[in-house]
Amino acid sequence: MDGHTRRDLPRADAPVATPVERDGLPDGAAAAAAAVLDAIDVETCLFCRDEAEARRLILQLLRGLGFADADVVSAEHRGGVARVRARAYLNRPGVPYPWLEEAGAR
Amino acid sequence: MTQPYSTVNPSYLADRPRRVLLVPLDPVHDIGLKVIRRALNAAGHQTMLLPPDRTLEEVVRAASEYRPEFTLIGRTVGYGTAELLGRLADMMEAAGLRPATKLVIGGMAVRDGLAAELGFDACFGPGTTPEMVLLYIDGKSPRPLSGTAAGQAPPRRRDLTAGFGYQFRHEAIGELAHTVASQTLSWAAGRTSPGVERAELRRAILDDPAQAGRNRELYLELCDEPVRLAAKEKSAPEHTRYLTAHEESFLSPERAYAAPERSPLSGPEGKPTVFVQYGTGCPLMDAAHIQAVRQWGAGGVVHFDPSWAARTEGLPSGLLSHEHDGTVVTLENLQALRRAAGPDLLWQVRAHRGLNTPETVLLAAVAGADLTKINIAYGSLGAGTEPSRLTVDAYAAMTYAARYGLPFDVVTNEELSGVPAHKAMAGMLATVAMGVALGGRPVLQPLFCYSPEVMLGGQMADNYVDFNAAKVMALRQIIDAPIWPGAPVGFLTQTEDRVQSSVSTALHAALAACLGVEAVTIASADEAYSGGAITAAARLDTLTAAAEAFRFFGQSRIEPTAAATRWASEMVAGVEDVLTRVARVGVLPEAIYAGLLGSPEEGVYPGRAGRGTVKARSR
Repeated sequence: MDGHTRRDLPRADAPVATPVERDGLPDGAAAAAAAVLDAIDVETCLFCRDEAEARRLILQLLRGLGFADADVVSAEHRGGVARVRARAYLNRPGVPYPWLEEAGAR
Repeated sequence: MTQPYSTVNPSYLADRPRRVLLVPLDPVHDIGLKVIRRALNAAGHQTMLLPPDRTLEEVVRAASEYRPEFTLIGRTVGYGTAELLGRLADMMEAAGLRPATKLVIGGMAVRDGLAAELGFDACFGPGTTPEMVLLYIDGKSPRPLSGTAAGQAPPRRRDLTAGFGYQFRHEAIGELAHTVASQTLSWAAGRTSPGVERAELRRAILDDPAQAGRNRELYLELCDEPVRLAAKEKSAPEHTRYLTAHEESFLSPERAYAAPERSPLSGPEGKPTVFVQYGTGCPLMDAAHIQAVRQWGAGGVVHFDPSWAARTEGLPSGLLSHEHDGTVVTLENLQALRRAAGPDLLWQVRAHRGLNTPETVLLAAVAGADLTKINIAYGSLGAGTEPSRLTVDAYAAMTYAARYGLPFDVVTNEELSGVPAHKAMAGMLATVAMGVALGGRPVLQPLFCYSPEVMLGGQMADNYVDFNAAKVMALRQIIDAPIWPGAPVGFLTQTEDRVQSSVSTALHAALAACLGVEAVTIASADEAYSGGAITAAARLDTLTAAAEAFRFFGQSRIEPTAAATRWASEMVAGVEDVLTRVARVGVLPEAIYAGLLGSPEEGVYPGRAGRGTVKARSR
C-alpha cells in the first residue's frame, strides 16, 4: 500500500501539454483524455500461451493505442485464457493536470 | 433500475401535493415505479400507477382522464425504446396534454441524451433513488433528504468516542495497564526531545507570529539538514516541489467543493463510519480523490504521509507536492486538505510512528483535524522510531491531543511484522491507559488481517471471520472503549485482482459492521498493486463493494464459530500475561527492548530513528 516509487516529476513551471500532444493520442481521444483524473484501466481476456505473453500483449495494445506510461496491474493465465488488467497513467500525481485547467475554465 | 431501497426521510412531506401518473411502458417490469410511488405517496403526493403492458393509446387516455402534473414513464426493455417514446411524446402533444404535464422517463433502457432528443422534461437512468425523483417533483435540487436538507447547516461530524467511559471491565488487566501507564508517564514527564521542543516552538510561532523570528531560528536548529537547508534557501526539500501560484488557486479557501449527493454509507444504526486513506503525494490530486470518495460514501479520510518524514527531524512549510507516495505534512497542505474534506467528512492525520509526532498532532489540530493516530508500541517496532524517543514524543503528542480534543486511534499493525495479536493488544492497551490518564480519548484499532501469526498457526485456514471477530470480542471483554478496525481491514488478503480485492475488503468491512464497531478503514482495490499510484477509481471500487456488502447484510449478522470465543479468551489471558511481565520491567521502552511486545524471533526489532536524542528536562 502506498509503498512504491514513481517516476520523477516534471518541472513545476513546465507548460501543460496540450491534449493533442499527450502520449500521441489522436485529436478526439486526446480531448477526452484530458478529463481523466489519473489513469485508464483496460480489462479483458486474451487467448495466449502463458501469463508472460498476456502481459506482453496487453502492454503492446495499450502502447499501440498511444499510452506510453502503461503497466500490468493483474494477470492470471489458466488453460489458454488470460484474465488481464492493464493501466495507463495519464496523470501521475504531481504533474500539471489538464483536468485542472478544464475545471478552472468552468 | 431504480434502487429498491430508499434513504428518504420518513417524515419528509411535500410542500404541495402533486398529481403524478406512473406508467410502466414495458411488458412486465414495474417494480421501480412501485418503489417511487410509495415514496411519493408517503410525501403526500397523489398518484396513479397503470398496469404494465398498456398500449400507447391507453396511456394517453388515462392521462387525459387523470390530468397529471407529472407523467413518469418507466422503460426497462431496450429494444424499440426510442421509437416508442417518440410516438408517446407526439401523442401526448396531439392530445393537448403538454405542457401541463411534465414528461419524465426513467429505467434501465434510457439515457439523458435520448430523453432530451425526444423532448422529455427529465430523465432518471440506472442508479436512481426515490429521493431523486421526489426532489425533482418538488422542484428542489437533487440533494439527499436523509442528510442535509437544503439551506440547513451540515450535520455535525460524528464523535466516535461518544458514550464510552474507558472503564476496564477486566480488573486485573486494568490494574496492570494503569501500572504500566503510570510508570511510563512518570518516566517520560522528566524527559524531552527535539520533537517535543520543536512542537513547543511551533506552538509559540503560531500563537505569536509577530515574535516568530527567533523561534523559527531555534526551530530550524532542531531540524535535520534537508529541512533546515530548504527553509534557509527557500527551496523545496528533495523530491518535493512547491505548487505554482496557479495550482495554489485551486486549493484556496474560496474554492467550493460540491456537497455529497448521497448520505455516507454505513451499516445498521449509522455504524460503522467508513474511512478511506489518501496520500498520492500531491495535495491537488488528494483533493480530487477526497472529493471522489466523499461522493461515493466515505465518512472519513486518513492523511497518509511519506515514509521518510517519520525519519526526518522537522517539518517543511508551504503547499508541497511530493514525488513519491505520501503527502507531506505541512500546515498549508493540511489546511487545504481539511477544506477538501468539506464540513461533513471526518479527517484523520496520522502521527504514530515518527520523529515529528507531537508537532504533527499540533498542526493537525490547528488545521481542523477530527482525529489523529498515536501508538508507542507499533511506532517503535518494525523500522520505527527508537522506543525511548517515541515514548517521550507520544507523551507530548497525547497531551496535545487531549488539549485540542482530538481522539486518536491506537493501531496494532505490528501484527504484520509477526507480532502475535495478544502482544499487540497489550501494547495498545498500555498506550490507551496512558492516553486516558492524560485526559485523551483513544480509539482501539485492532488489525483485521491475514497476519504471519495466523499463516503459521492456521487460525484462518477455514475462514477470515473467527480470528478477527475474536479480537473485537477480547477487547470488549477488557475495556469499554470505541473500536475501529483497520488499517486497512483485510490486510494481506487482497490480491492484485480488482474484483477479489474489492470483495475481500467489502467482506471485512461487513464483518466490522456486523460486530457493531464505530468505524472501519478500508483499502482501495489497488491495495496489492505496487507498480504505481493508487487511482481514484480503485478507491471507489471498494466503497461501492462495501456499500453493497452493507446492503446485503443489513441488520443480519455474521455468526462466528465457537473458535472465536475460544481465541478471544486466549487473547485476554495472553494480554494479562504480557502486561504482567511489562509491569515488572517498569516502563514501555524497556519492555520493548526486552522483546515483551514483540521479539526478534517473531520478526520485529526496536526502531532506531531518533536514537540518542532523548534528554532530561531542565528544571
